Amino acid sequence: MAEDRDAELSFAARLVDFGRSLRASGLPIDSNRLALAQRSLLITELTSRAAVRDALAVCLLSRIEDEAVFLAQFDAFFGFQDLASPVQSLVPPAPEPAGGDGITMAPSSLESIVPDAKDDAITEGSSAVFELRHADFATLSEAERDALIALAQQTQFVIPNQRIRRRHPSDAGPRLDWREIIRRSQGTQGEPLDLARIDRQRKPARLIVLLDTSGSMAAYARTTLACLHPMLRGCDAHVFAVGNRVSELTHAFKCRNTDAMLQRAGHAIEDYATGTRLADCLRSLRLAHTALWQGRRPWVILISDGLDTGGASDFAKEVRKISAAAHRFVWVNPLMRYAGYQPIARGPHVLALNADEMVAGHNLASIAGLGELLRRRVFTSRFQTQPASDYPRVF
Amino acid sequence: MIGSVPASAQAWVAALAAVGYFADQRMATAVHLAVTLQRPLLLEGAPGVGKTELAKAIAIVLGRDLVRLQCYDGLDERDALYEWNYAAQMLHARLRQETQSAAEIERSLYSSEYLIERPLLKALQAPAPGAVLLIDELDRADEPFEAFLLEYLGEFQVSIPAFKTVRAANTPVTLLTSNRSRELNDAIKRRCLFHWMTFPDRDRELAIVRAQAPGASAQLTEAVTDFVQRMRAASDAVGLSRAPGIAEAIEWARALVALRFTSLDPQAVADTLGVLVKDQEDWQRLEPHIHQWLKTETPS
Repeated sequence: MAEDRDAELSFAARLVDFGRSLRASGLPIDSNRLALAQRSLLITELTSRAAVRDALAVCLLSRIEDEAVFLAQFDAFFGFQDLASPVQSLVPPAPEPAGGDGITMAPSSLESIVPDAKDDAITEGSSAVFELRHADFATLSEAERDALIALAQQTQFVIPNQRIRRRHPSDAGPRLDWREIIRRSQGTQGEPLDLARIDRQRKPARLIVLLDTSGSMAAYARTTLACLHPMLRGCDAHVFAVGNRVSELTHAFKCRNTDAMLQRAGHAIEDYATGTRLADCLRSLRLAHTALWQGRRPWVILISDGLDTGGASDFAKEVRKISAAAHRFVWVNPLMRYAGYQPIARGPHVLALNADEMVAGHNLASIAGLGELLRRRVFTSRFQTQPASDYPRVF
Repeated sequence: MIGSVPASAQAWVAALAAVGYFADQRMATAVHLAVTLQRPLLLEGAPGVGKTELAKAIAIVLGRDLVRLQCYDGLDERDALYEWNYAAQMLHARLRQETQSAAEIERSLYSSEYLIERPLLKALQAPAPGAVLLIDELDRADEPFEAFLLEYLGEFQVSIPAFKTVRAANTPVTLLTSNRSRELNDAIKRRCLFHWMTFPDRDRELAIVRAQAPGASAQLTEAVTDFVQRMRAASDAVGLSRAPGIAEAIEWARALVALRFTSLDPQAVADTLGVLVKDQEDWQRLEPHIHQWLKTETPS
């Protein structure tokens, strides 16, 4: 049957199909790129399969993280199928139903190659979606988890740029640029006719996301990672797993495909579901990843239940240091799902004292709400908001 | 051969090898498509894999001038594209004040005579056969500059107020490089072809070191290549802050030649390791492994 299909489809149509399946796997393929790919095939000497693959890769890829998915799809589409390869397993078998309205990740002109959303059950506003958004991660079945991850693809954090110390010329800026005014006035016999203005430059807020992957958080960690992945797309985010040691997940998060990200994250985290030595992890983040703390002060988002199993003495000290180095320190706590939860245990107590915000993080709605919180807080000064708890803030 | 455009990826491999740059098939395909389709080519990869050198080699193969724009934080139009020569304009206006009318003076002030060309404009206005434009380390520039590049990369033209819109007479072969200190904007990526550069395998690196450090004996070249390859393979496990690039391997071979070493022994490594490792902590982490990496059998 495959041969019949091959015979029917012209190469261009096949290329479009290839583009669609790449898109369904999360690669940003638009019609321009496909047109370019076709032109490139026309001028390449197609002597071997590798030559076709190279030419397509040059035109269709723009990030190295997408290469594994590209190669797997290429093998599936252009013969020599190697379905036993481990990467193949992370490619969804059919174009993924991305959901209901306007969930496409591409400009509207590309609708012709965007797979249609088929799953009527998952449309925004339906009660099933509401329940899924508010379902506790720990209680989900496998199927529900997959649906939830598909639903999470619709959300993306939109965080306004932060003002930094550097200044740049700006017509509507609040301050006069005296140096430039004097320079310009040389052309008008010393009369300052043209008032140059400057404003503070803006840069994307830097996020440091720390996800606790210890045993007590095991029920949440995987789903939280999968939900955060599409949301952090396009953010200047540095993601780390903390447990007994720190594992960097930033590179894994650069994959467009959530399954591919989970696979890479799985390789990176060696101590999944073991102990939590938060103090050691925070210290090594501070000392080994110094570049993260220079320049713009980062937002630190700690997703943890706060139950630290490491040494007691310097936990409070390390949390205070991280909190002081952060632009804002947000503690996302899955235990907040319990009504009447109080951070009374030693670890949670220290975190509650030092966090600027303490928010729940046990379902999709609360994780998505984190984006809204960040958006609102970018322009507010730290001292305009109350500390997370009623306890006095300790430095 | 120099000056003619190679007609296929294989021809590019040969042409680049002739000028001392050893490309693999995939890289050659990317270069071939970029030159033929007249699209900018975005090169990404670890520092020291030869991104900048590739641009130089392409310029030599095509017999074109290389115009280089080094990006940095705060780079703006005035440094990248053009600037009016204000001082000369003012002088001109003062001198002609008596003899010419205001309108005439103004017309003559905004002419190419007073335009200082910066790299982007220079690349557009290069006489036939055009130029090779290298926009180096674009990740160091800020986002507004990326946005400014969009018109340039899409249309190969720039608009200069009060002067004219400059279109490329000969489309420059444009290469952008990024070390990925941050992610580039999708809009930039959409306009570019993409190639990810990896460190070369042993044979390719051997050929590179041999070509670039001709004074080294065959034994020394092989030893240097093997050592660097092993060091690179183990850099994560040992915890080095960065893996040595090809440029460093070449420099190291040249340094050993300058010191008249004909083979690599622990003493030679200890004397010259500063060329390869630029970090005291890396040096300490490296020391226990030196003997192991100096063994003569081929690495697996």
